[in-house]
Amino acid sequence: MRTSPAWLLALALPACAAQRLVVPEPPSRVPTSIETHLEDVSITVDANFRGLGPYDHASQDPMIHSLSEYLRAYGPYRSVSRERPSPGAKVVPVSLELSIALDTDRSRTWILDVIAAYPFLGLFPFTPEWGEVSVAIIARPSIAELTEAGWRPRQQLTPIELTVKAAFSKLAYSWWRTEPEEDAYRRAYEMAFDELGRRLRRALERSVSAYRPEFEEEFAARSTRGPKPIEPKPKAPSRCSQTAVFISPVGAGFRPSFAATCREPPKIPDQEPTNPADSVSSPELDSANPKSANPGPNSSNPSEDRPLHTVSATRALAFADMSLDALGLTAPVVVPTSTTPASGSEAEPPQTEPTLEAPHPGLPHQSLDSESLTLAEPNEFFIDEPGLRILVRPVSRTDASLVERYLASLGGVEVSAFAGLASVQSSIHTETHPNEVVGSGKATSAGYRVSLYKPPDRTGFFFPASLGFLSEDVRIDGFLEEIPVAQIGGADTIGARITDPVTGEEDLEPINYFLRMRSGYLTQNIALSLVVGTDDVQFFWTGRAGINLFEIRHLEVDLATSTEQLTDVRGFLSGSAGTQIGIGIPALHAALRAAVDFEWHDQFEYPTPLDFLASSTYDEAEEIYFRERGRSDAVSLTAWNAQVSGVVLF
Amino acid sequence: MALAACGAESERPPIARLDEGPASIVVKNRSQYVLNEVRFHRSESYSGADSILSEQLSIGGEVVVRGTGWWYVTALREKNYGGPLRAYTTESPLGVAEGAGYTLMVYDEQFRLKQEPERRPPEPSDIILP
Repeated sequence: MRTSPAWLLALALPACAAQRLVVPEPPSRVPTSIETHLEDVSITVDANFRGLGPYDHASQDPMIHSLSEYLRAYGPYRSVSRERPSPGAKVVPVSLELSIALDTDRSRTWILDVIAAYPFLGLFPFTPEWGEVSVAIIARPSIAELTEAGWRPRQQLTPIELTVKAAFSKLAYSWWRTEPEEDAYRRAYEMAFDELGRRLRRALERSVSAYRPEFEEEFAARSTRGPKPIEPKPKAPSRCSQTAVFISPVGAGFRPSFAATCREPPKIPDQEPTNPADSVSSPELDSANPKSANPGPNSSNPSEDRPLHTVSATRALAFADMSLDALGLTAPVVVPTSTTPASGSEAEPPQTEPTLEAPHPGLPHQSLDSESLTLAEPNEFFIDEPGLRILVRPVSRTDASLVERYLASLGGVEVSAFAGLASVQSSIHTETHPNEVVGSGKATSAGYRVSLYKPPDRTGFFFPASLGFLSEDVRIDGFLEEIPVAQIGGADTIGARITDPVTGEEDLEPINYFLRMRSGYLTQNIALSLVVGTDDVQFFWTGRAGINLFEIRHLEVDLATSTEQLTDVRGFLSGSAGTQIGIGIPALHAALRAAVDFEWHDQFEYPTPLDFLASSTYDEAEEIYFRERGRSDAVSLTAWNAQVSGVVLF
Repeated sequence: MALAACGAESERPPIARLDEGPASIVVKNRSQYVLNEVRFHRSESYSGADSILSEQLSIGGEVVVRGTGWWYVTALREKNYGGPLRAYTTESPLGVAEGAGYTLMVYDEQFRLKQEPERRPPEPSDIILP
């Protein structure tokens, strides 16, 4: 059987696709000693993965098994599995429907790929690729009801939505390697499963305790009459879509109240609301309730019963995304969260309760108490890649002060040594010389410069606009050429000696003009930065190209006895490109870089056309060699600038 | 027989005598520039010579001068548009025989002296070289 190249390609391509179902490491969390009262909860997991890769369909069971392990780590639960408990089991059945969407967003630089493929540069196999994997989980927990007839939801709890993104990058052989992407999925699953377990336990703690008396009543009834279906009762815990904090005046000032925006009035077993305003549970009300203010060992919701003085000061400002329908407000409210006791009578000393667990690395740690008073719990998480990597997000200093962050945004002070070369060129367009360069000139510059500079801190394409100014003083010269002398019969052809009539000195210079070129312009750039490194050391490369959208030009030409000048406005007649390479060491507040920039300004118009001489040609009619006199309308300028610099980073 | 021009002065051939009276020299501007001045002078230096033109000689324009002997010719014009004035002097003197007719074509950086079959009849406007 013959194997065609197409077959080989078809076989090779799937090998480059990463697996997206990657079983994460087992949870390292050791269940804490806090009493959670969830030992009778039996969780039935039903997961639906979307966005699977070509190799993922056979591996869903291990993933669900791993997820169950993470959920169990936040127990103890009676069971966590895909199996439903039997109708007669004395458990609180919880159904957990999971929709897990997987996605990979990858970027690569085709520019560098092409450069790497070019065999004479030796950059193969340097083919960077970077991206982020995304694990988005929507979990719909519900307290179920087990009947002889089957399983049906008793109470749908607030869905838990989580998105965890993890970065990955590959510097070489990126078209073949899959493990960086798979590692990123592994890290994303770890965080997503862990966070899901944490939030699910918290949701169950609040809800199951409200149902427990009902369940116990059912268990008791079953034990005497046998199991029978129980109709869902309207008296159920609130379906709180989200929690809000708003301001309510108390005494001379304002103090925050704790509210829940609910679709149904919550029916806390121990507290029946008496009016619509009571459809929110408030610490004030709770604290007024002796049972709530002094939660006993059977308090089902210690977090909501906790007085305000336990609010973390780090939550100085909480942004309340309130349910406007329920609260009758039209705008979010910014609430200063106070550590002041709600009132003098409520000023009880802070209760010390055991925290549930140590925070997960990378996760914002909140105790359950503070979370219960907070609305904007993050639902999106990002995990950066450890070690040497392509940096797609800036390495942030979490300990930086506001001033330090401001200074860091400026970059640092750069001291550079630069050298520049500007070249100008004019052409004529005549019948004999359709497009001939008749004049050129060069100007050099060199020196030192001190400026502000910020090294690139992340990889990607950028589209910065910039303002620039060009100032070049340069002399443009025609060309010297010895004109052949053609002798003809019956005549004598004689060359000429050229002198300055003022000085009598021989003139050996070509035609020349002194030009003063100025241009202020607005540039739209496209830039590609590649930043590779660790948190401590970063190597960067940038390639940039830009077109000057708008330009104000001014050109002065010195003639023998006068100066002519022209100012005009042009667009899309100039541009620039550049590249830089460097290294940044934030820990040392230092960076080094080398850069080369190229500028190009086309059709810089002369105030009046300038004389130049073309190369010599033979005039058949006159039987003589001569240089055609041509007048050029404009000059073009190209400028190269190179610099090496050291930067002291703020 | 006349020699239109010669190289070094020591190699000057004798001037043939074709007719009585000074030769006619029709100076034609075949350059790409307007000529500000045209000077005839016996030595290499043109500083003491006067221009034969009463006004600029336009491109393609001509003027007739009459004279005999060896002459350097200098044309003064702008080097380029708006540029400095420059003098373009023949590298060697031109020999003009008495009674002959010549045409002197002034190009950008060259001159060409051509002997004509006949001397141009005198006109009142002709310029007589000293």
